[in-house]
Amino acid sequence: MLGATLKSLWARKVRLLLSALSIVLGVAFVCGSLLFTNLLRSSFDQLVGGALGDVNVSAEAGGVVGFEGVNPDELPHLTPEQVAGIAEVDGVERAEGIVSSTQVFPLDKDDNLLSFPGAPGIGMNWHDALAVGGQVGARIVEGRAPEADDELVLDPATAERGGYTIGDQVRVSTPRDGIRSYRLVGTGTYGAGSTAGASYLFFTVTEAQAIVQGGADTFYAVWIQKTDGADAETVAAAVQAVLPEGFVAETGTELASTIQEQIDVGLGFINTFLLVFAGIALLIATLMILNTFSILVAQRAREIALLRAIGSVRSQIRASVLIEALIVGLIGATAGLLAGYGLAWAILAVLRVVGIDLGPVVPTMTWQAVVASYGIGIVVTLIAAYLPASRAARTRPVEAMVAAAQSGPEKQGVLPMVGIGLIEVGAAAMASAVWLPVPNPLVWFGVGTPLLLVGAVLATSVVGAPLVSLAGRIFHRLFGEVGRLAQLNAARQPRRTAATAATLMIGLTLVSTVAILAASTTASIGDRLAADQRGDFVISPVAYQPFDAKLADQARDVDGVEDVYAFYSSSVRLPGKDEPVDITGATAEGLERGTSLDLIAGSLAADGDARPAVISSEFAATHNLGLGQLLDLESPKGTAQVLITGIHDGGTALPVGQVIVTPETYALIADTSMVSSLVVFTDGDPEAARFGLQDAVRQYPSVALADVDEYVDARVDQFGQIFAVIYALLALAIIISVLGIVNTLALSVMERTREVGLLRAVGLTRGQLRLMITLEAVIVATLGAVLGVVIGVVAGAALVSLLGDQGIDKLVIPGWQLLVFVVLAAICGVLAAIGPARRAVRQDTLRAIAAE
Amino acid sequence: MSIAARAKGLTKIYGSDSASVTALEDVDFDVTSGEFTAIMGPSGSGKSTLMHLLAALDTPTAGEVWIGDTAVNNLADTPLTVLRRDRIGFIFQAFNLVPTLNARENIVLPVTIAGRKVDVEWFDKIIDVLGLADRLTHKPAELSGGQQQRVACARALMNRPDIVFGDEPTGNLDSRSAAEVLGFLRRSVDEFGQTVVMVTHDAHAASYADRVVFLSDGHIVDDIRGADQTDLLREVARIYPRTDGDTGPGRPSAEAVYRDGSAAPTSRGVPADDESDVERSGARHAARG
Repeated sequence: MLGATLKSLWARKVRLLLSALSIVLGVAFVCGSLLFTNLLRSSFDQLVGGALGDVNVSAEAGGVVGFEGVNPDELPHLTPEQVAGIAEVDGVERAEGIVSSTQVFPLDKDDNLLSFPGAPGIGMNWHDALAVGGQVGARIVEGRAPEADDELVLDPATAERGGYTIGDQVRVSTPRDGIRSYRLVGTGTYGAGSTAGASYLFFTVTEAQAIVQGGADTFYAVWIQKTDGADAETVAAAVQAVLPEGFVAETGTELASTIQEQIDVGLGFINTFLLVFAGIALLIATLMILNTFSILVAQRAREIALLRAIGSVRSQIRASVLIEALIVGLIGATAGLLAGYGLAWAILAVLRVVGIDLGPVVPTMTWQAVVASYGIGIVVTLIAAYLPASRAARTRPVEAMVAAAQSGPEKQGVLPMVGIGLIEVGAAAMASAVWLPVPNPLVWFGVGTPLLLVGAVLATSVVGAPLVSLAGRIFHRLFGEVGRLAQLNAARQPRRTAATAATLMIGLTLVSTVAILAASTTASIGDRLAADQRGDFVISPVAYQPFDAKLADQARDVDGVEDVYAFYSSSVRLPGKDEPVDITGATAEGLERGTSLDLIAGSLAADGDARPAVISSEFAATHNLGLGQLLDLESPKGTAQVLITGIHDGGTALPVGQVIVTPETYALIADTSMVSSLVVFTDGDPEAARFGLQDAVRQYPSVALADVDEYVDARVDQFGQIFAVIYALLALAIIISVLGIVNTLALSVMERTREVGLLRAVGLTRGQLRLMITLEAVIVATLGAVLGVVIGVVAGAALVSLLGDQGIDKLVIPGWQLLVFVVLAAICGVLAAIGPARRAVRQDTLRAIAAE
Repeated sequence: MSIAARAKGLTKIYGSDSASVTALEDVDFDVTSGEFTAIMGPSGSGKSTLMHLLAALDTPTAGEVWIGDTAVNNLADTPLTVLRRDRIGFIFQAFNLVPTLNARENIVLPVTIAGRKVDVEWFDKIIDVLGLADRLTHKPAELSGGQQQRVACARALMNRPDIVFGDEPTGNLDSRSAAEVLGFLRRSVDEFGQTVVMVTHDAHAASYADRVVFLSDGHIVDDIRGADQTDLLREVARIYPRTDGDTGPGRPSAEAVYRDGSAAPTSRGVPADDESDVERSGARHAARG
């Protein structure tokens, strides 16, 4: 029996490989995402490992620059004498004071930022002490270390992206001194060389101190290399003993695991995200395999009946089909595993091309990925093949004698009824979420939508029937008898058509939901930003990093500028509390004119000697605060006591903190040399002032000038990018479904070989035959697309109405875009038909008729 | 009498080199208009190949085929398809009907795919003759084998083709249904002047024809007109004798029973027969009821 199974498998290898393709894609996605997140993690491991000393000294509230976004200016610093004192401690081989900033951005030859938006530009002093566990720390790749103050070492990826070679002058945007020019004397990086998108700039100590902290001869952290054989923890304890208050000494291993935990949280999100898409791909794969095996079993009815006639028992037949499925699953999973490995390489290559160097890491196969790939591939295939296998086992021996080369008409069974039930339950859950005051409406929605989708998959054959017959009427009108034949072909196996269309339906449901969410989000946010925006221009950083406050004065001096309001932001702590509190520094006038802040009560007006503060209503509720209460704000720089004089409820385009204080108060607890944004008012003619403002801003490449519309567009565009990534992933799901249509259509055409031959014999031309198959594919694709868009619109509208209090308060249904989706799906149908149609057209009419 | 289809020097070789099989070798053959021709022969004799070539379903290795005045050999696929659609009708042994279409739709299929209007009068006439009036809305799966073949016959005639080709049209049918189908083909020749060419290995079926052509090993070995079933059976036994030498109990030798008593020729011209075709077929019909 096994021999017969293998033989029949080999005879059908092409068809089975087609169906294995869906498994390959699903598994590749699972495997690729697992391998890539693993790769990212090891890349970050190396990044972190090479960038930490055996023991690291930093201010208590600090952390590692570049990971926590701490502004080093606001932390207490160590003097060179204190660093020298640490070097004297037992077990310390070397102690290197560190000066560093995340706001030093290299510029390309046209003075544009070379860094990626949002990625830090890490400028620091050069030293080559070894990293934790004796690893190489900072190292020169090419050239030499900086020796003079006008010399610079860049990381190789950034240097290459800027087209710089050693000896070139490189212009650098510094946080305090605008643009400075340096001679590139070498390229260098940390440890293994991974920068994860950041830029590294190494300077001499004095130069780093000059550009990062205005020339103060201090260090914000110390990198300690222990002597051979010394125990890192002992050394850390010894160092701790000599440190002034407010500093801690931590071992590199300790620090690395803390950072690792933070990274894992972030990577876990990426993982979930990719696995959701893998799940969609596999759901589609299940439907495709179910289809393929159903067709194969039907085609082999005579062969199976013959096996039954010569004495195979039902369990043998079932086992034979399941073994076929197992082998298909194995092959698919193996290919998917390899494809996933390739996918991880491909993502790596794409990242390299765009300049994100993850260092010399390569994707390595993990046992988790292997187990997951085979497990998923095989289980999915077996589940999908079980139904056809049982159907095959029910074949009666007598069918061997009857010509049954075709799938007989299908019985609908109970599944569509179950599907309709699920649709009703799902819709009810969604309706409850939207209209009834149920607790956790998002959970109701989260349960209702999948139920609706699964129900729709099961009930597609019933729900889709009117659509198919409508398509038939239209095609009959347009294409005559050929259009009708296409519709009848699509309708003859409703379950098969439904399963094929369902794959596309799932993809399009998601795409439509995302489209509605995207349109609603951008419209809501755009509207609110436009409504809340004050002033004629906003000057804001492109990389979310605060910028030089001197720009405010320069902007004020520009002809035609009436006033400039500066907004500062940082974070502080409440006494005895750990979590940071966002604070904003602004003048009362700036707050009133420069923002649309919704003040519920009071104002930021000074009341006697007390320092006024406006707090957010949420913050007030959390900490049980009210007007007239005193509040202590603490930071490493100092403490300020404020009097709560107002309560606000947000409502501004610029992000405002939980606590808003005056610039005078802000100066006590944070750094006023850096601002987070400037709002510019002109004398009434914005265009007259624009030129002068642009001139002033040009000195600060990390800062952008935007009028109200530009500012809104820029913010909305950021959402566009996020949605673009989601679209790209969903496109993959849709590609899989198109392959599903190709597969089913190819199998159906093969199954109908004789019928096609007959049609050709009685006068169907090749063109008509091609048209017939294409129209059938278009019907299936359009059916899936229309159902998908309908469910997507329902789900999207429900989601938007649920997210109303999250700021997405405007429901936009992008009708044209949805129509384009349906048209694109129809075009996909046309494309899917190319292969099967060519096959059908090429087949020999005579042989097709003669085929038994 | 005009020629409906003509084959000249027709040769068909399947495969190549050592594995090649010659199915037909230098066959000349004319199909006369308004005549019912049967092509007989055992499996492998080349009878189906001859019909497929004549019907432009296959291309010959050598030789030429004309349908009426049209040389088929050099036609591209589309004109060839149009020629099949408009000038040839087909009845196959099985699987004659498109399962998604009902009987009526199957019958008018060649007309509708050509985008033409159905000739209702002609349609009604065929339906009436075939007794299909109450089966028109049935799907093929709801029809018996005989009904399916009658629908196929109706379809084959719907376009008033120059020739109807039947490839073992009764091969899958019980004797009653077979008789109905053969009777209809006979009537289509007699009443509508239709030209019919039918491949069969069944002497009973062939006995409905005006002319029977015998094929053996890729050659036409005999060509007779007006033979009845007994004649044909005898002819079969003569042309294709059993190789073990047993000619069956009490059966006269093939040579002895040849119809006009002459020494068995391998082929003959049109026999001098004073009985008209119509009279003869009418007689046969009367004989069978």
